[in-house]
Amino acid sequence: MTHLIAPPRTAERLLEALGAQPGFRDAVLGDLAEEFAYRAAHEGAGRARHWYYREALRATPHLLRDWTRHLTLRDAGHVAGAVLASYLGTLLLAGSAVALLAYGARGVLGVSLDDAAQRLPPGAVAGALILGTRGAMLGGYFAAALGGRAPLVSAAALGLVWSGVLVMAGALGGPPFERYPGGLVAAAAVLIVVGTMAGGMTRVGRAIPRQAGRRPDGVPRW
Amino acid sequence: MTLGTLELTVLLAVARLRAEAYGLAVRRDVSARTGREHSVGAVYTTLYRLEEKGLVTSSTSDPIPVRGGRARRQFAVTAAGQRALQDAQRVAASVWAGVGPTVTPEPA
Repeated sequence: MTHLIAPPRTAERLLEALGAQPGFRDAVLGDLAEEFAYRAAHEGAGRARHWYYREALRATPHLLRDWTRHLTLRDAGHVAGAVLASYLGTLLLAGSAVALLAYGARGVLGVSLDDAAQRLPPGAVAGALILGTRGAMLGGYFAAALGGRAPLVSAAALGLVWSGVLVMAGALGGPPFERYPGGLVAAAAVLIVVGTMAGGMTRVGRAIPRQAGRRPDGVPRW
Repeated sequence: MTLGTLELTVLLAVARLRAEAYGLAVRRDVSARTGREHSVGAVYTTLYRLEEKGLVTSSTSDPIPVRGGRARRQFAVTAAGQRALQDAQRVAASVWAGVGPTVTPEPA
């Protein structure tokens, strides 16, 4: 029996998570898998993988386009609900963290959080950006978990909402943004988008598919 | 009905391949004849667009292990598709009429 080399599973899962209709999605992914197997047998697994990653990138806009063409109100509601729930969840988490820091600053240092922030060394900004990115990853993870047919779209939407709010707040110059340069706010916005996408991809990579969606040979799907 | 370049090329490939006209074969045929490697997504987007226009029909096979258990989607040209090809051939013949076998480049 010929041993079939499977295509890169994570890349396959990411393509599956773009929300295209099952018929279109399976046709595209099936062809990618079949061509991958042919190339692996004739050119080697390494070159076949390189080809697959390149073709997966080229297929992404078409899969997304298929998702948008068949977008129903229910799908849009699903994405909006996932984004709202994750947004509120991460806002609650961030708010709790700020409240805890404020309590700590008042209790330990005897100063307000604002005063404590001004005394922090420059490296603390980098630390805050890293923490913020990790928070974004968490948000993206949950947005993808709640995102239904298009988990990566939900994660990306959350990233855009969060970064949009951050950029608007930075543009308005209210506290605490008045002391930070615009470039830093923009960098934070970019990191948030990257973080939510990374969180979404992590969720997709780990997802346990539903029982109702198994192929005849037992291979699971969304 | 006016067809885009890729639509016409893909439709011709489906007509040429007959029973073997599934996405992968169509893509290989189109890429070989145009000298350009078209993406799987672009070919299927075009095939589905042709199906929406009623120029091709499609059917699915049984799941195939090499495709990760996914079915193969096969396409066939409809009567409307045949008429579209004949129209395209007529237009091309009209456009090329009087040009000759090769276009002579102007002297440098």
